[in-house]
Amino acid sequence: MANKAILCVDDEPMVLTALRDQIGHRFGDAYRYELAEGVDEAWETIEELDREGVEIAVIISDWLMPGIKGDEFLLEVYLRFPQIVNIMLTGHADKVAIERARRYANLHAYIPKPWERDTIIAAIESGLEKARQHPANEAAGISQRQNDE
Amino acid sequence: MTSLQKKLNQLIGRSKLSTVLIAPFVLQIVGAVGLVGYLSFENGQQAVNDLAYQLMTKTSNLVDQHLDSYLATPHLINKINANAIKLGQLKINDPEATGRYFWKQQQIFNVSYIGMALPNTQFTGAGTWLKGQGMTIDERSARIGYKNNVYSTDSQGNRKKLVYVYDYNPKDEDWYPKAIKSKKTVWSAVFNWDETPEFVAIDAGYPVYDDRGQLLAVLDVSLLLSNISQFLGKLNISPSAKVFIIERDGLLIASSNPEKPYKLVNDKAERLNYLNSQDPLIRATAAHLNQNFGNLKQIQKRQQIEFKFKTSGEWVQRQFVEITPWRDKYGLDWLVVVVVPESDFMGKIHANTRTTILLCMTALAIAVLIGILTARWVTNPIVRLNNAAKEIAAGNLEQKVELQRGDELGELGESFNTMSDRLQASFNEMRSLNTALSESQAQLAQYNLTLEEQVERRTQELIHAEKMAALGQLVAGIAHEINTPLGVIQSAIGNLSVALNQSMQQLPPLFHELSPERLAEFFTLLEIARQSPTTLSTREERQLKRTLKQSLAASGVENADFLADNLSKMGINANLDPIMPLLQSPERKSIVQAAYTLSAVQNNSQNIKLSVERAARIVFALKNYARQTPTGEMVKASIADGIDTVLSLYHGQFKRGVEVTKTYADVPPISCYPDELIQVWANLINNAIQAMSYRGELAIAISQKDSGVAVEITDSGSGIPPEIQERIFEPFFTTKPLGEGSGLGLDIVRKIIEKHHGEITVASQPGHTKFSVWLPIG
Repeated sequence: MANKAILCVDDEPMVLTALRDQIGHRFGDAYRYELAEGVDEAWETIEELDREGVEIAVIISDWLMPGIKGDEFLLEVYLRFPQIVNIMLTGHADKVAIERARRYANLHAYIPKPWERDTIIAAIESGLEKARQHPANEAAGISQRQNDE
Repeated sequence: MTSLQKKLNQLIGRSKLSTVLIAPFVLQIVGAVGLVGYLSFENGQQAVNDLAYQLMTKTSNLVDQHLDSYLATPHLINKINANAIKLGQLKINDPEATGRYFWKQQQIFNVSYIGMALPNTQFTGAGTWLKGQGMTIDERSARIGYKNNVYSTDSQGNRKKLVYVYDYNPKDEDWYPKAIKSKKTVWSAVFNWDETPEFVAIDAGYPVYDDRGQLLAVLDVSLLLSNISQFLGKLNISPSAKVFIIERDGLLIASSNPEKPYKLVNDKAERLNYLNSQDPLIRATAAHLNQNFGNLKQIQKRQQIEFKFKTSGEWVQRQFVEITPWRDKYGLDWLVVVVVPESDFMGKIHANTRTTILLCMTALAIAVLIGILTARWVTNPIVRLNNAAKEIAAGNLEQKVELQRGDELGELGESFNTMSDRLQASFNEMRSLNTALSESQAQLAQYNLTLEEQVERRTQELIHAEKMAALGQLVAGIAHEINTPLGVIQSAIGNLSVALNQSMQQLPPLFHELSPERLAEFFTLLEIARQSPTTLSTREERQLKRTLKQSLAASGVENADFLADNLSKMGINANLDPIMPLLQSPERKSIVQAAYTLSAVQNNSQNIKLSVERAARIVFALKNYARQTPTGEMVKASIADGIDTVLSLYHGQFKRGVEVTKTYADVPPISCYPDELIQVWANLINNAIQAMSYRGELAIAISQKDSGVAVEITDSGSGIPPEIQERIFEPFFTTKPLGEGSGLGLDIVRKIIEKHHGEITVASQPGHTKFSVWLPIG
């Protein structure tokens, strides 16, 4: 199987399966598609994949989740795995949180729900492209804004 | 402090300043003058005593001397005459010659009488005794028949004529026999002359003998004691002093008092005892001496005594007495007594005392006057300052005290004026400040009013902000809750379309290629997938995937990973044996993929359905919420509906972590403002969820209690520390970081509950925090 993964984090399982179908249809066997219904589970998955030597390329995270918020989660991810492309997919997030994520968590894209399939695919592709072009310079990478507000 | 000092202080404290200043001044002067006066009086008295005794001693001595010389003269004359007889110069038998001789002798000596008696009673003498005749010569002799003839004389001592004849036998006299008897000079007793009883005299007799011892004649010299009295009277001792001489039996010899030392009884003179003296002082002295000494004969030496005596019209006073015995060798033994009343000296002393008192009074008056002037001089400025100060105290600040003095009071005056100026300046300043203050106060009151309005407005703003925040949170939740199913629906539609396309492409060749056995197994797979639970959690799915992979690998199936992935996505956890041949066939990948695509159609359709239901539920809650538009009037509403609306709207925030337990009793609807109550439930539930960090148990119970409805919202959070439980309902109290909470949430809750005449209480311990709301049914 592929040794690269895309991790989706949302408290709504229907969103996760829908996302998996969308992304899986586009990228096929190139990636493993991992789902997590919360931040704790996301971290479990991240640790597990890390142990298995699977590189996480992209994390798509909801913002409004029980307990920890998406921007805080992505900030922590960025601090530990700066090479991961961070995308926020959410039904609602306040502007401050998004700005915070952009500034400190190298948020690549913010996509509001409901979302177009093409939008998320384009965001993933542009993120992966940017990571490829500047593999050693993610920290200074200019986040590409797929959609403002 | 003694009570005396207290009283003194009180007295001084009550007195006026001038009195206090004058009184010591006057007291000092009175004291000093009084003391000096008293001492001088005492000294004067002592001096008087000394002086009195000195004077008396001097007087006594003088009297002694006088007596010595006066009473020695008769004996001297007698001796001269005796010598003259013995020398033959005086012919005793020639009366003419002897008469002239005695007459001549009388011119020299101041004696009363000089005479000579012969044993044959012949007598010759010369003296001044017959009234109006001057010095006469007396003769008694044989030639005139032993009669006593008295002849007046001329200036040469010649007889002029016979002027008086009387009978007088010298032998009858005291001195004659006494002299013969003792054969030497003797004194007669004191006696009154027969012819002139006012003549109190003493005679000195002297017998003259011839060589054979035959009496030739007896010489006689008579002394008038009144001369002694005259001498005593001339002694100017002191105005009231008395000097008198007495014999040891108390009979007066002489006295300075102008009285006769005898009295006439039947024309005969009798000697006077000093006890019967006309002079009261002498009488008193006599009485005192008798009382003091009993017998005068006991007095052997000079005595000085004092006694008290009250002379008429005067006060009782001391009398100084000195008694001096006087004796001569011829047997006289008299007492010289000098009496001096103290008043004689004290008169001056008293006069001095009066002068002293007068001086004292004058000094006192002057002192008082000076004291008053000084006091006035001192107190006047003080009084003026005092009055000015009183005026200032009364509010008249424009006070000036011009003292024109260079001393401390002048300085005080200047200081006072400076003070007054400053006070006035300060007062003016104060007044202007006060005015400014009043203005400021008014302004401040205005500001305060504005501030109150501002606070009120700001509070309203904050309450509104709190409402808006709650609303914002609600909207966020709702947006999330709506957008999520919409997103699911949108992607599911896309996925459905993709899946259908894929199925159209995948199924025909699959149906064509597969054997009937494999086809049957394929449908079995589809059936298993359809019956599999679609609601596996991602965790369960991952676990399932691992299990499937292991069992496939164990069965020796190739592409176990791929197969497990797709099978797990379909949720297949049933026994794989019926489809094992299918999974082991060469087309297994496309078969499983086709099965997944078909199940994806089903899944996505299911998701669309669930999402639509979710969205519908949210919209329903929102509709409920929106229906609670504030009307300003109380309406009947169900509490449970309100709470459920809130729970629905907040569902997205705690659906995973929070287990909600609802225990709703059947309670009637209550009269309330539903929109406001929803704010209450939203606040309490949101607090509860936040308190347990979106994980734990939330229990909501509704029950009927008394005539109202009780709602208990219990969370399993960390609890509220006891020390802040009291404060959580206070406005602006918050435990959230600055800027995150207004602190008004529970305050608004409390206000809303109070508006409903309900109650809210909290009981909290770690893991169990319960907010209890009670609302009347109304």
